[in-house]
Amino acid sequence: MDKRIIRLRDRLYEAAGIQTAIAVSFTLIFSLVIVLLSLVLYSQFSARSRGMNIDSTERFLNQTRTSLEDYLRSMRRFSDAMYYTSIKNSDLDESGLYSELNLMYEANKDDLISFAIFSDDGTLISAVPVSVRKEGADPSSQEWFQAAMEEVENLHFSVPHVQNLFEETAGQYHWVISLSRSIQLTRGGVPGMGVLLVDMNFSRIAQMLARANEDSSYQYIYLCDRDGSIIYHPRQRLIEEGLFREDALAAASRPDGTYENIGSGQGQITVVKTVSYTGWKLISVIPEAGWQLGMGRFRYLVILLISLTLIGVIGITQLVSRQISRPLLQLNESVRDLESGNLYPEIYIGGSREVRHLGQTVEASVRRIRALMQDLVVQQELKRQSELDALQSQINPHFLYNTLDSVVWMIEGGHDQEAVRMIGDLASLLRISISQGRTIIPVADEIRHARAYMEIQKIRYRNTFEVDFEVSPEVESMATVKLIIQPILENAIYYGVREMDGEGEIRVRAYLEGGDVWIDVEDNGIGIPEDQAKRLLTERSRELVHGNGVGLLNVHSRIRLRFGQDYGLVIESEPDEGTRVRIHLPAIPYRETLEAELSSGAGKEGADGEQG
Amino acid sequence: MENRDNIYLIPLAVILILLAVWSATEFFELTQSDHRPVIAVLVEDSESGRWTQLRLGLEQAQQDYNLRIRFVQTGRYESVEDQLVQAGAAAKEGADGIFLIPVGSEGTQEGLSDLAFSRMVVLGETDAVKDTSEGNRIAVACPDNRAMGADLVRMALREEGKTPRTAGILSGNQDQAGLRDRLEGARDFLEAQGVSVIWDRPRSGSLADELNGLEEPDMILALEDEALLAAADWKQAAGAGTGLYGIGCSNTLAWLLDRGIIGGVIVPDEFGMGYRSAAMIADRLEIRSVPLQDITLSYTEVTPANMYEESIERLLFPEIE
Repeated sequence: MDKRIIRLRDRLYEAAGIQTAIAVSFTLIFSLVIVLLSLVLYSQFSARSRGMNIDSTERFLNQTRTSLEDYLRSMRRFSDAMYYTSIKNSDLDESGLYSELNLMYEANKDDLISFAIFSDDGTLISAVPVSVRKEGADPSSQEWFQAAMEEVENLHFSVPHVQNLFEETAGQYHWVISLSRSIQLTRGGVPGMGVLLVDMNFSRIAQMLARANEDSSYQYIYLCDRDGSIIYHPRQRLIEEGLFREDALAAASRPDGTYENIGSGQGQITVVKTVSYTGWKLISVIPEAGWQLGMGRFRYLVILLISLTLIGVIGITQLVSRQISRPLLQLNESVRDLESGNLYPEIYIGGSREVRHLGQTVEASVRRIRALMQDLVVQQELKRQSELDALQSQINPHFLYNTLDSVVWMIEGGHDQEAVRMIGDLASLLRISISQGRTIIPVADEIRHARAYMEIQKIRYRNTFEVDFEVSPEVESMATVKLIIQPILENAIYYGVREMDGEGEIRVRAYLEGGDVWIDVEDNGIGIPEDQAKRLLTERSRELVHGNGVGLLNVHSRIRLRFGQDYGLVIESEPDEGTRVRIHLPAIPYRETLEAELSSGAGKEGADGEQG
Repeated sequence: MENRDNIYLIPLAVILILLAVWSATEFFELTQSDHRPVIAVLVEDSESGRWTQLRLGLEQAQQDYNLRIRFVQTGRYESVEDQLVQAGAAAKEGADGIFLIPVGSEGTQEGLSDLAFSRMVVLGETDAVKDTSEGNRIAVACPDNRAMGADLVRMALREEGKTPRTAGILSGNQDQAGLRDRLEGARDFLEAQGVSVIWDRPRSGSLADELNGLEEPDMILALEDEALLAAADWKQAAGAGTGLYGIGCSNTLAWLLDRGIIGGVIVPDEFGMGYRSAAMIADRLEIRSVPLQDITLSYTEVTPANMYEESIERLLFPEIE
């Protein structure tokens, strides 16, 4: 197969669906076959029809020739009968001859106009019906007379002409074909030569040929003599007027047969038949243009049928291709359903054996994928839980170290009461931290935890900074991940206000905004550059020397793990102006079962569901 | 299968549907080719034998061009208006084209303007309508009448042998521009040859009687068929030896020529007039862009000496039976 065709086919298969590929392929193949078949059949039919037309023309021409020959034979017999039975054995001066000739005329008068006997010098001896020779008419100068006298053995047929030998009444002129022969005659006992003229009625021949030309509008038959002089032609006047051209000489010079494009008759088929006794040629002409015109209707019918067949083929191939491809398409739909995320698609199993097998395989694969996904989810949950535990465990030692360090410092400094209060705050703080193992607690508890923490820190740092809590009551009942404010406060102290000698301020605000919970921790400390603030929440912040990003990143990660990627921390800071860390949480009312619910589903979906 | 995939086959289907519609239309047009354009023919005295050649020409065109020629039955028209009314009636009856030999020229163009707006019109024998600006819907088919008048005189002088000194003219229907042209051509040539016209009579109902009261000239020239036959009748009845020549084409002319009653006749090509006019209308009906064009016809001089020549016989004796 040609490479271009293969490329085209491949491109089609790539671009289109299987049904289209099948339908287009079938349509093209069928179309090609039908068109080729039609062309072959059409050309065969055309050739056969042409051959039949020629055969039919030849047969018809033979029939016409037979009729013509019958007529000519009867005239010839008439001439023979007159000559051999009446003239040759009689004395023309005897009176009985005329009545005998008249009887013969009466018996044949439909076929002939008249007959006459002339002496060899052209003198009219007798004529039937009785006629008077026209004054000035000279038979001996006429062609038929001369031909008879020159070839005495033969009968001579002239071309049609108007009889002009006898006196006629007005309007009684006749077109005749003169059959002449040389005769031996006896007048008053004296033998001599003469000419017998039988003027045949040309209208008989003209009518015969006119009838032969009646049935066809484009092909025609004409008659000419051996020299190409036209005897009868349906368009004779047009030929004489120069409005129609006929190369009769070219046709007349050919022997009997069928010819294409002879002489000047280009684009036509010519059938030639010779008429006995006369040497005349009966010629049928089938013009190619007329023939094509006749085929035109058939041609349009063929085009119509091909078009309708091809339209039918398109329809049928559509149905067949749909039937073949339907199981595959349904299986494809199942796979698409799977692709769109549905882990429980209804896999189509049907159609042919191969497609059923394919469906069963896909179904088995889906089951396997589902099992693997389940394993993966479990593993991910375990991983997340362990990561959570690890994060929380990162907080506790850090804080405990700091607090205990402060208590030690107090006791060493003799500040027992403050140490007692600090340990009390620590106990409260640890209670909330433990929270019976829960990781989700109410915001109120988280705020309480932050207050306890700040009480500890204020004692530790001898009130070198001020703390202000402003908590909107409606957020207190909302849920939060525990221990998320404390690391931020810790950072605010250590890296913000610790060195400010009583001028440091830390402000904690909890409120609802845009349907979400926001907890802002704002200090007026030294602040950090913007690019550094951005890096605090990236994994690279773990590598920071002072480690102040570690706590923030932990908080950020824990919030996002629980509530999704839309939540977490937002850090805004300017050097020498201060830092504001904003905690963004979904507004989910706290309940005992919330943690379990969040653990079983995705954090974000759960959060969205609650808000909705 | 997605719906958009169907676009591969839609163009093919559309092409096939268009092909089917086109071929069906052509097929049924060819099948129902019974409709043949109709050409109405309006000539004065339609049954007259002088229209034989015209009829044959029209019938030949009818056969060759698949037409229907409708010879409207007419008698003698009182005026050209009557003829135009009849032409309008023929058009209303469904004629696609009109062939008309007007009995008068005055007002013909105006009278035809409405008719020519919807039908193709060809005028025969006369160039009454000189202007063919009617959207190419009027044409004329006629010989050069002026030259024909002159040639008639030329033939008459040749046949007479000696130069006649006087001539009488039967000028026919002088309401027709064509006959006026013939008269003008004949008169001019006679004058040039020094032959004096001693009288000139137009068409009348009793021409043979009129001739009895006129001075007998050396030769009589009849410019139309009817006048020629009337003069021949007069000549036979009177036993006059005046040379008689004319223009015409009726069946009886051959007999008159044969008997020597008429010395010569000019026969216009009325077969060609009929055939070519009808063919032109048929062509124009089939292909609208084919313009109607004026047709100049030939004519043939026939004398007793050449009337049985092969080329003349079919002109004088057009009917086989």
